[in-house]
Amino acid sequence: MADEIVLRPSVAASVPFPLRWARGFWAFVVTMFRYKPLGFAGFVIVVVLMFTAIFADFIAPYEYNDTNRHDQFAPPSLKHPIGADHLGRDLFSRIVHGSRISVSIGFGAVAGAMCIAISLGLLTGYYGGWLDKIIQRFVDGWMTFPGIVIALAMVAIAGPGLWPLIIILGLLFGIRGSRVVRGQVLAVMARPHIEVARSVGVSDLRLMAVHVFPNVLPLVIILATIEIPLAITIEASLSFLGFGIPPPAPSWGRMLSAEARQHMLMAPWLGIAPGLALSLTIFGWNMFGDALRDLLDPAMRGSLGER
Amino acid sequence: MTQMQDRAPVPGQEVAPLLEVKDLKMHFPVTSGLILQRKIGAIKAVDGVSFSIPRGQTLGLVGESGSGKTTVGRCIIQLNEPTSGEVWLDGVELTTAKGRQLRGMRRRMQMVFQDPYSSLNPRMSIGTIIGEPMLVHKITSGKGELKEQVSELLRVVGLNPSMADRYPHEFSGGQRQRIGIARAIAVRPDFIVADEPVSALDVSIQAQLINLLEDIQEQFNLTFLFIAHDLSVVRHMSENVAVMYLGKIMEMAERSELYEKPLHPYTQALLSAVPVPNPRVEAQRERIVLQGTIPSPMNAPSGCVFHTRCPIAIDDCRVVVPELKEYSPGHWAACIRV
Repeated sequence: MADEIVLRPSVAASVPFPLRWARGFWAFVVTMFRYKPLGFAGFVIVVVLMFTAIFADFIAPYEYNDTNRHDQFAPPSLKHPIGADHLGRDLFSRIVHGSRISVSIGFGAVAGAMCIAISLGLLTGYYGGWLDKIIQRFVDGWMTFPGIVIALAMVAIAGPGLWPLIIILGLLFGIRGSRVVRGQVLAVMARPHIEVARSVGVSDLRLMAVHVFPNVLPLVIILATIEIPLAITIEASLSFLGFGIPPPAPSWGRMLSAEARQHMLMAPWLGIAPGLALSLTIFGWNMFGDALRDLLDPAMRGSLGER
Repeated sequence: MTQMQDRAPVPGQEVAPLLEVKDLKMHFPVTSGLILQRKIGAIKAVDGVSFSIPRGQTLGLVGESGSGKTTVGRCIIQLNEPTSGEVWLDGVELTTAKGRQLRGMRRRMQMVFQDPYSSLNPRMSIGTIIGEPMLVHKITSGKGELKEQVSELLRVVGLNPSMADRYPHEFSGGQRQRIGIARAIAVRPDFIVADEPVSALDVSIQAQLINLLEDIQEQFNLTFLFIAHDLSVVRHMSENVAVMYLGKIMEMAERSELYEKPLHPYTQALLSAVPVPNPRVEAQRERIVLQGTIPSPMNAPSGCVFHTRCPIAIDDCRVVVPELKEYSPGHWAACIRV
């Protein structure tokens, strides 16, 4: 049983550095397949999504912007695997290219958000005092506005486009997330082992990096996996309102809301395809995040073999 | 000042003691108000405690919950900044030490904590936990030596060196406390505060750990402040014993003196609460049963803090704050009725 527990530093300690990571990764994938089948399914979806995003140009049979009058509202066929839209654009190609937007928004915004949330949360939670009071009152003010309102206002200032959206969503989630991270930092700081580390003579920086942060990390992972689909959804909502990625870029949200809404009854594939793509992506991220959190917890790692 | 300032109350020590605590006070402020916090009172967790411990010896610190004994230990280790008073460790005053100097001194004093479950970081392997003090104080050179030292320490505390890669949740309470002890002795300190190191453990395990503590004390020439509420454990471990009540030392004496001729009514009551293994004696002996519980340290009783529960209190006890006086060589008590 003990042999099945992966991620032990000792197991891989003798292997050279790049190999150690590769081996750890595969062991991790195998463990997830064995003990977290749903999480593995999510992992597969996420991998497929990323693969699609990277190789969209090779996978898609047409350009996402190729219009064809004869194929308007074409039902699924050999020529158009999941049909075509009101301008006769191949839906499959648009979905495939759209994955790029979803992946960039999801990763970009959340990576930025986590950087902001972790640094603000650690700083305010660890040092407390006036720094904490001032920064967190600002966060309070920020949180009184609904996210979409802030996002709309900022898009109005910065203008639409992929990069502005990534930065805006990163700020939006990051500042909110800092409160969650701070709460967890406070909870961890109250644990006796922090006090023990202090009595040993550990410096502030090491205390934060080695003792507090790893105990906050599971929460950050959950937060990130919740916020990736959320960011994708907000991008979709903004695109629907005309503030997102400007057309003709194939944003799933825009395809679902703006284009499909009018013609859904006549050509249901217009709604089903981007809807399915969005739901699958969100489902995949959530399941993967859940499994990741469980597998990263040493206490859970030990009990995996007994299940 | 109710207690002596100049002389440490453990006599017969010509050599300067390793640890000396002088008139230590720890008053936690009680505040109220949302924005502008006003101080409305203070919890006097420790109120004028003085003692000293000669090198290589153990001072047992006993008292019931809330008597401030843990706070004394925390103030010595500088986890709490005392309100006033001095803590001298081998000629260095700790309460005024800051930053780098204090961190350097941390190498010489370590603490074993009460709760073996929450005092280990669940995300660090025990090898890392034990190795961390050496890493922080740059005692070892290189990873190989660190690993060796960790193995050696594990062996010293009776654990298998191959366990270094395991995580805390894989160990029992007794094993975790052994890990805590290994971490404490990793930097080869002179002085260790053991804060109820065995009270969270089974009685059978307690004995093993007490023996381990004695072994390492001998092996590393350690000086202990042994905090406990179990009088028999303290008797076994310590050369001198101090009894605390509500932030003050009530009585302090050499071990056999204190256990055989207790002067203070509180000590007498504590000792009479220890069961005697012989049932016939146990049935017949007279016990002093204290009424009620320890008062709140926020508004401690006037005069002698013990007068509310003292079986022999007189009117004067409400008014007069008893001084800690030496009644026989090395035997100190704070009671006007002795």
